Amino acid sequence: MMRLISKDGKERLRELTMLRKDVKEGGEQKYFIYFSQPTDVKDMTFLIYKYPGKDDDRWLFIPAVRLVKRIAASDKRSSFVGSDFTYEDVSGRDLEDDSFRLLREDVLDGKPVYVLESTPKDPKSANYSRKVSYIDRAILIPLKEEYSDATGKIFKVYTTDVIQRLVPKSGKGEGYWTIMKRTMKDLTSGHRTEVSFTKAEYDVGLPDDIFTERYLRTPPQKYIQ
Amino acid sequence: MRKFLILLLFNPIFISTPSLATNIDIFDYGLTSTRLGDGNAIVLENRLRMEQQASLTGAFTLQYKLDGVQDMAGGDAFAEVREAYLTYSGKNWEIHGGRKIVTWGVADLLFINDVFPKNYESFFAGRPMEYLKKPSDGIFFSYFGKGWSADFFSTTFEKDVLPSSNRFRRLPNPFTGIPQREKIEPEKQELAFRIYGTLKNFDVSVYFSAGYFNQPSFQMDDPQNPTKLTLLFPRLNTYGLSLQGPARGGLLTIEAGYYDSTKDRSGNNSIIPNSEFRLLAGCQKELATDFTAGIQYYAQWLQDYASYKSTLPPGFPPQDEIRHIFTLRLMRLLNYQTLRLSFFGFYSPSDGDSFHIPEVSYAISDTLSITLGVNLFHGSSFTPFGALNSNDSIYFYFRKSL
Repeated sequence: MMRLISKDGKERLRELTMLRKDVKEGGEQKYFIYFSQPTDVKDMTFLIYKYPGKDDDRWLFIPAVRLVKRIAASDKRSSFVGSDFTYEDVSGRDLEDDSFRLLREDVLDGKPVYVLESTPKDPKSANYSRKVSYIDRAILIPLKEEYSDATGKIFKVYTTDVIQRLVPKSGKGEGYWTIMKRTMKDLTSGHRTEVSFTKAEYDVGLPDDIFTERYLRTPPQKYIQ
Repeated sequence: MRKFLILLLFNPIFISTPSLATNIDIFDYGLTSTRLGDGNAIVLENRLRMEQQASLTGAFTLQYKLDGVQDMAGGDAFAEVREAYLTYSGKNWEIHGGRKIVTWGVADLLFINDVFPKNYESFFAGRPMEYLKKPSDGIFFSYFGKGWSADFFSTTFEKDVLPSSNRFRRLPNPFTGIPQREKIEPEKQELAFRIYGTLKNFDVSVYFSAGYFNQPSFQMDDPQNPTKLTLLFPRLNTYGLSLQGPARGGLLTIEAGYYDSTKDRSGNNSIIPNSEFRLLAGCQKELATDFTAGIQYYAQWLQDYASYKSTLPPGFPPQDEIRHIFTLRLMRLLNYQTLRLSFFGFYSPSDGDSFHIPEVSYAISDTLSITLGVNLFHGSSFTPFGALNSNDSIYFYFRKSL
């Protein structure tokens, strides 16, 4: 559930289900996104094949005309469904695109953190000049991220609000720390987006065929609530 | 103007409804289209839409889209079933039966392998884009293989809806004055087949259809002294292919097709259209954040042109052997993607006609959106777009979820 909230409190909702399959660790990924709300995007589905170092392949299904449309690999800096998160914020930026520097170890809200600076190798590839991340030292999850522009001014702030450790249904492994609620705030416009997961599961064993045209047209009921 | 206000007052936007059963969607369209030349309404209607996708027992699903239409311009009220079909889903196949909207092909507002029926009256009047597609009745079978999939459809004949003189003005009509009309519609099923897959990031499809022309041919009982006009729909087979994939940071599109007019392969029959080749090449790219542009080049090459010209009835201006069309689409999203500015233009350098559609759309809230646009036609009345040059219009519609 994404809540898009403007400076004066006006809200828009985007309810969606995202299925992600990591084809290769740190490499190719497949995403299937199904919108259930609001009604003007209901039943719209997106399919994305993400490749490291190469443009994504993307398809969109428009229910009104029953058309599966391929879309131009868009600017990764563009907003994801009109929210304060970009496509890249949602799917993850390639590690090779930035250079990193550990600034210091610190404490944030009582938690020990690493303070890490990321600078895009190609300034045109990102909508920020510098990003400072405060990463929880124990579980290695970013708790806060500050995005600065070319003048050094912070224009966007990301915060992790709720974290939970989720164990897969199989019971195997220690589980994955998952950010269940997060917020991205645009300091220039005062607009913010809050993303809450009502449900998240790992190692579900998503079959490869979900990430095909068939399911763009008819979302798999088994995985979509 | 008064009619429009009455429409606004009586439509359900002002009635609050309790939330209904899950997964039934109800929304309301208020549609208007006003001719710029004389201020008359081309379209003035309210459509109450009900849609549902219901899982039934086993692997059956039922889907439907119903419109309850109040047509203020025509003075009529009726129900329109946009879709109503039952689906059975197998492990790697599916079969649907009933009324369904089907779309394939990769071109933007130009049709080569999408041989399915269309409502051009809705398109030229400014109804929302979904009304350009006309549903088909039949059986729709799909097979999903590893890497390659196929569709096979068998449908009853449906003709295109063309602009009619009860809504559009000064439409060229070479057959006025012929008192009797007869329409012969085909009774056999139309078949359409597609096989598709992805090869090296490119979506590839191969198409085939065996059916009928969706627009009529006209036969006069006696060309010298006609008293009866018969509308018939000759046989048409189409063969085609399409490719779509990434190129230089954008999307490249290629589609081609051959329209085989099987009853007039020599081109000597003046009534039946000649065969033709259709070719399209296009590309689309995001030029800046939330700003996309797309261009297409399309050509329609009439075969057996010499036979066509020699058998053309007197008084009928000949069409060119090749009709060239360029299109441009621009789209800009603003304000957290709530405001959409778009433009689509068709221009034919060979015929000198054009059709331009600038449009603005704004999502006021999650349940209410409004759209305003203009349809501008230019060209001599002997050209396809120019024939509508007295029908430039401004259209406005809202969509409210209930």
